[in-house]
Amino acid sequence: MMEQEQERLLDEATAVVKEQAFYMKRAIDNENIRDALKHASNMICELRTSLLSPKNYYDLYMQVFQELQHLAGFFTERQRHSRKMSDLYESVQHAGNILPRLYLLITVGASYIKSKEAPAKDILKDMTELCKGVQHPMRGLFLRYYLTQMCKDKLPDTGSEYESEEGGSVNDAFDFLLTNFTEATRLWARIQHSGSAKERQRRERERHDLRVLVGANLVRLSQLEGMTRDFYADVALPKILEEMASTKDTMAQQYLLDCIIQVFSDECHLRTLDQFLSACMRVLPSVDLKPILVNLMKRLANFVSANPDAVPEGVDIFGLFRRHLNELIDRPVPAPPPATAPGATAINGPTDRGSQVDPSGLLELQVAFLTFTLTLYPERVDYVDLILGSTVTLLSRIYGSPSGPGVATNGKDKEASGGGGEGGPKRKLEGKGVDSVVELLATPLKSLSLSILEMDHYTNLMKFLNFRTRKQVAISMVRTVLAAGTPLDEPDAVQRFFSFITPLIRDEEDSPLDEEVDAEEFASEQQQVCRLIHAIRHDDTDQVFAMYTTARNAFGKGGPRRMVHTLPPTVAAALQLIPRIQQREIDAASGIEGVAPPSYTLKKVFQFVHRTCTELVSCAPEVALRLFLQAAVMANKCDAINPGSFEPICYEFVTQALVCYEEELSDSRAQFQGILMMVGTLSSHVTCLEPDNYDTLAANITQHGAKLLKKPDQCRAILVCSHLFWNNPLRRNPQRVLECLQKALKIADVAIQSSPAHVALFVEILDKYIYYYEQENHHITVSYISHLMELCNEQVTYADEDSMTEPRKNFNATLNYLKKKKAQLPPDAKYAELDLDKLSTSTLNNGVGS
Amino acid sequence: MGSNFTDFGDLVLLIGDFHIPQRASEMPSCFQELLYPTDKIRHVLCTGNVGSKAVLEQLKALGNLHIVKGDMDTGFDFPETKVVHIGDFKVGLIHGHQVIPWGDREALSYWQRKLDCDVLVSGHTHKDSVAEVQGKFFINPGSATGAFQSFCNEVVPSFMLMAVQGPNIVLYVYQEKEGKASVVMSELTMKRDT
Repeated sequence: MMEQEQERLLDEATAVVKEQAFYMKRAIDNENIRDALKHASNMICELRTSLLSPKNYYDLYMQVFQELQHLAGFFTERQRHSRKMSDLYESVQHAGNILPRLYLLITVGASYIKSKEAPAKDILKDMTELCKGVQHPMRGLFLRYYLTQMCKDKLPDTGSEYESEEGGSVNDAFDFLLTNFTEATRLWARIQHSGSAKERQRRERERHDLRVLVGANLVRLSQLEGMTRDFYADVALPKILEEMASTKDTMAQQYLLDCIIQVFSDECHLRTLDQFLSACMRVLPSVDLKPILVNLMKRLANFVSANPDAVPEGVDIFGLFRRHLNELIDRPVPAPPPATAPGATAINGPTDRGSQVDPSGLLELQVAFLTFTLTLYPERVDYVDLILGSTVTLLSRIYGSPSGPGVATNGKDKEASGGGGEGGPKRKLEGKGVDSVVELLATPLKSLSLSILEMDHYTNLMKFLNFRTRKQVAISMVRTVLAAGTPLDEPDAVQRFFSFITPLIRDEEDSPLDEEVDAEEFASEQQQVCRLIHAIRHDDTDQVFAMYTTARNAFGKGGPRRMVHTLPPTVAAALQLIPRIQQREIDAASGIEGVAPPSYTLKKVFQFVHRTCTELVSCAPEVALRLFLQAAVMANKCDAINPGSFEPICYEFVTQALVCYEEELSDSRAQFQGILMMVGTLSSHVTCLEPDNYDTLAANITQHGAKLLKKPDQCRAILVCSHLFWNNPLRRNPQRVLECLQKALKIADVAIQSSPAHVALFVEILDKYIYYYEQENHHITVSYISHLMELCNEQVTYADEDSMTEPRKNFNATLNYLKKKKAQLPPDAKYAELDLDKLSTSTLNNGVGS
Repeated sequence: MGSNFTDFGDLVLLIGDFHIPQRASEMPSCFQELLYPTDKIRHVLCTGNVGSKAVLEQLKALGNLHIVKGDMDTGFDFPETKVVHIGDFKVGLIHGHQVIPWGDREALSYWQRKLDCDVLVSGHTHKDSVAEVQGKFFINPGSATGAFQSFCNEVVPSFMLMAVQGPNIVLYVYQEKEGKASVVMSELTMKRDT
């Protein structure tokens, strides 16, 4: 109903304005000044209403304003009315009603100034004074606006045509605008008190829309030619700020601060930064300083980046902002502020929302300050640290100090632990503030990378976050290092880095319980951590090893679930370092200039590997076994260069692999694979062992093979073990090979009793015989092969289940292989005695798709 | 090297022994640049030792993945061997730690017969190689990351691409040399038994 009523009122007023304007223009056309003034006055009378809302009043004002321009034009054309401007100026003051009187006065006054028949400053001053006659807030505000609009191009500004001895100077122009600004501000502030309390909210919204009427004065002020930086700093700003402070109106203060930033130049702001920031600290607590300061920082950042020389000498931008922001942080927590401008979140000091103190506004401001600082001072790690330090101070006041023992919470009982008194953040940060703190931590990481390690407050700030968020920050630190390809090349930095990423490295008070952890996510995080090991690089092996040791010590605190991920890369890295250390030992011993013997010797590194593998035995036995074997091969390599020195180490490592097998591997598949790995290592890559030691190990492994639970596994393991006695050139024992094969045959014989499918084993044994026969193991004769082939043939021919398909295929493949050997030119003499014909028909006929 | 393989028709990627993150942080960036923008790879034959699920997922994204279990794939449930038909070829896949002595030609021949394949792809030695023995092909794509292997002296990161057309295989061997991917092409032709 309000809307409709408003619409109707506006329509009615518009109709009158149009009508009177029509008569006014007709009078102007007839050069009848009296009628023109009369109708103009009638038209202006419509603006006397108190019923229209600010928005509708503005519409009406704009119509009147447009129409009055005709009148102003008429006044300026002297020849058309042939009156002296002073007479006109006098005569309009006889209008009966104050509002039309003043509008007309201004209209004439503007033309009067233009005519230069009297000094501009006198007319301006006179009009300014007379306008005080209207004290109704809205009518007065619009009248002031009209005054500014009409006179803005007729000021005695520096260099303007109106500037002269009598006409006045920039000081007069400034006084005129400032006075109008002051009056307008007061009237504007008073609008909030007009009308009923019920509609206050809407009125405030509409009042907000009228702010440009006040700002217009500041805009014009900023455009004054005479507004030099000195004038701004010494005269203009102090007065504007004084006026702003005296309004005691939140919306006005908020708007004026913002307006000052917008309309005046960045050079001006740089010059008056301290003044301006100090004024910000003195505004009403309900003013939201965040958008104002953020705006200021954004503008200064852009400007100073483009014009680095524009900063006046002696102005410490960072220091000024920091001092004033800290002042905000240090404020006592105020009582809840009264309702403020719509949407404003007050940040003048931490605000108290019910019982919960909310630092989020201040935190956002710290984020803006950090971004600003990094733009202006991209290298200043210390500045960033100071900002983080201030943030820690802020949070400590609410959540307790982070440096205590850290009474962290476990998600569920956050509420319960909120009241604890002594050290460590009592509670973790929640809500909007979390994002800001994460940003405060992530932003320097992006631009300063590992320089964050030099900061004192970084980890303290992390402590206010809950475990999950801390972990995310840690992960992004790891990712940043990895993505940048930055080498970790300094032991202290590595040490610090691991302390920074503690949430990934070990359990903390508030780490979730095992069963609450997503296994896949956990693994993927740990794998990122592992990649750090490969980022450790240095020309000096001692430095590298020191860093590995640091990492190893950190990983050692991670518990088995982390160690299964983190220790294997550590071992691999240490092993990889060994050839470099050995080369260094050799170079140092042979007196090559500049090469010092390593402090961390080969033996120390092997001990490190040994200790680390041993740690893995109980939590990841299969991996431990393989790493022991890798270490054995590495020791063997060292021994090849320095014969005899590393045999005991090599033997120890293989022994440990075997012990690990015996004590920890219970799954039959894991056992079989373990034997495979031990045989593969020993038979091909371990050559330094004392004969007795080798024989002991070979015998042990073979025994383990024979003791596997399932017959087929036993059989295959023994076949594999046969290589222990053949492929190692130092311990070739053809007789033991044959024994292995015969033992395998025996086992296969037993196995086939339980299932004819195990005939596959015979084919595999046959293939081993062929292998050794071709390798010229003289204990293996062609008659063994011939015999075995008959045996296989018999089995695969007469058994016809589906399960026989694979063995039959394998047997045919072997048969074809041998036939080729015989058929090739010249035929392989080895197989001359072998008669394949008697086998081939029957088998091939039953063969699958041959 | 160009970064697309458009001229080759369907391609088979032979790759393995990543050991990420146990022994290497990632593939050389020149390899990643070659592999990741392309959609021309039809099959991926991986010799195992991926090291982490992340690597497995990346391989799956490249094409049809066929993978076997490496000695370090203790946490994965891959088969020990696999045979894949590609064009006219039967391609056998095995990691290679089961082939004792490791990398031994005759021992490999035994597995080739056992898998009854024309091409046997294996890894474990971290050294790329291509050989033809009695009309069968033995291919080892090496280690894609150049991962440490204690019995090797120096490991050069490598992988292979294989284009199969009728009885012919064109094989491209990629090696990382000083940060750049170098490629050597060879042609293998299968002689059919009559």
